[in-house]
Amino acid sequence: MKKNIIIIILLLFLLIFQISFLNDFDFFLLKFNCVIVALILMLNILSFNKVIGLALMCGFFMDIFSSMPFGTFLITYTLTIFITEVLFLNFLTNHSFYSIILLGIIAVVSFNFIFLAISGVSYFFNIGNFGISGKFWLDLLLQIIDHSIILGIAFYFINNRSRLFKPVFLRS
Amino acid sequence: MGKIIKSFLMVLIIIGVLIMLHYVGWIKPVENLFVRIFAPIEGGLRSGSLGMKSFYGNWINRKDLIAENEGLKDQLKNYQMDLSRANSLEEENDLLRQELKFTKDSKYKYVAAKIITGVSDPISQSVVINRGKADGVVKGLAVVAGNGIMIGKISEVQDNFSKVLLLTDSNSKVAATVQNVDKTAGLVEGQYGLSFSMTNIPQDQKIDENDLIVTSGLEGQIPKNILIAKVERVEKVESEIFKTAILSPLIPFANLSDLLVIIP
Repeated sequence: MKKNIIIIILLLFLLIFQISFLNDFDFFLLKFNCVIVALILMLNILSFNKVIGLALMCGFFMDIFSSMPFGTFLITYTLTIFITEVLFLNFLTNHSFYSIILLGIIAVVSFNFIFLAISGVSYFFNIGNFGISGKFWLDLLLQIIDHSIILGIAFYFINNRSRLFKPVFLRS
Repeated sequence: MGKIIKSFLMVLIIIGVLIMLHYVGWIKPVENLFVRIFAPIEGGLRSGSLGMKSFYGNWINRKDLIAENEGLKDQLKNYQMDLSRANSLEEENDLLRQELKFTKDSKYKYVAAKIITGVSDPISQSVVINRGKADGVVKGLAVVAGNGIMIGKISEVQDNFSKVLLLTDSNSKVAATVQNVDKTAGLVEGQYGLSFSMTNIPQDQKIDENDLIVTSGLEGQIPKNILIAKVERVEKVESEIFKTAILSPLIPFANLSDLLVIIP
């Protein structure tokens, strides 16, 4: 219970940091979404149902402060986590450095495309905005690089401090 | 896998219910509570972000050059404001409006507001301010920066906070006129968050580079003669009925922090 409350408070802090600080902090080629990074790391540590609950909370919080139609971020965050989990379960090795990086890349790409798709649909129904920036692909590439670096650092940090990402061997 | 599909359906239902409750208005108190609790922290973080941005800008450029440049920009803005005011006064005199009426027109009530968060998604251009219904703010009011230059309109109002749609948002539309002899009328529209332009200008109307654009007062809740932008260039195609003027903002929209909501 205590652990869950700490995780929720941490995530709320990251959300505020994302909305108020990182969205304005666009120099040094930084296009960083710390909430997605946190959810990907949690996907490796917590149960899937808990992470989905946290993704719902993140989406709700972002939707309150967004001008996009309500629900855009709720759907984007939860769908991103579903896609990442399905790929994680079916194609990737548990708790390895490369799987964390690959999951991060999948999550960033999914997040961007789901967001664009939802904006497109809301634009089609005349309830929202839609537009692709001229440097969309460059931004996506920078995001992938930024997220891979941060996830790599986080992986090594957590690996040195705890056994959460250590491989588990069974002994007879 | 079956478990995931079950969770997926469950989450879909939860999202559906949340969206429905939002549009019915039943979770507005929860949303208000979130904003009230987190607004002070967000305001502080945003100030920090703006501070770091300005530090970075000063660091990469020569400090004295920036100071001189900013001084000149301020001076230019003041001159433009003066010119705008002078033009307004001239118009008033020409039309022999009564002094009393003039005073009435210039008597705006302002509500000072602070931006809580900046643009929170990559597509729309909006900010959240810490004033809402409780402070007399209603949808459609003009929002100006500290020096009186219009930056957007109130798009959504809650009890204690409101969303401001910036002029650069592609959904933003403001009735405007050019401060010239023709009093050319048009519509200032956002251009996908990048800039904004004045559209619907009849081909026979005069509009030149560096002309100042002000509000026309045709929208009931927005007073006339609030400075919006200046004309950067005019694009016209002979075969079309209307021409378009590309506008350049008089202040950078990225570093806004304190705003005024004009209550007519």
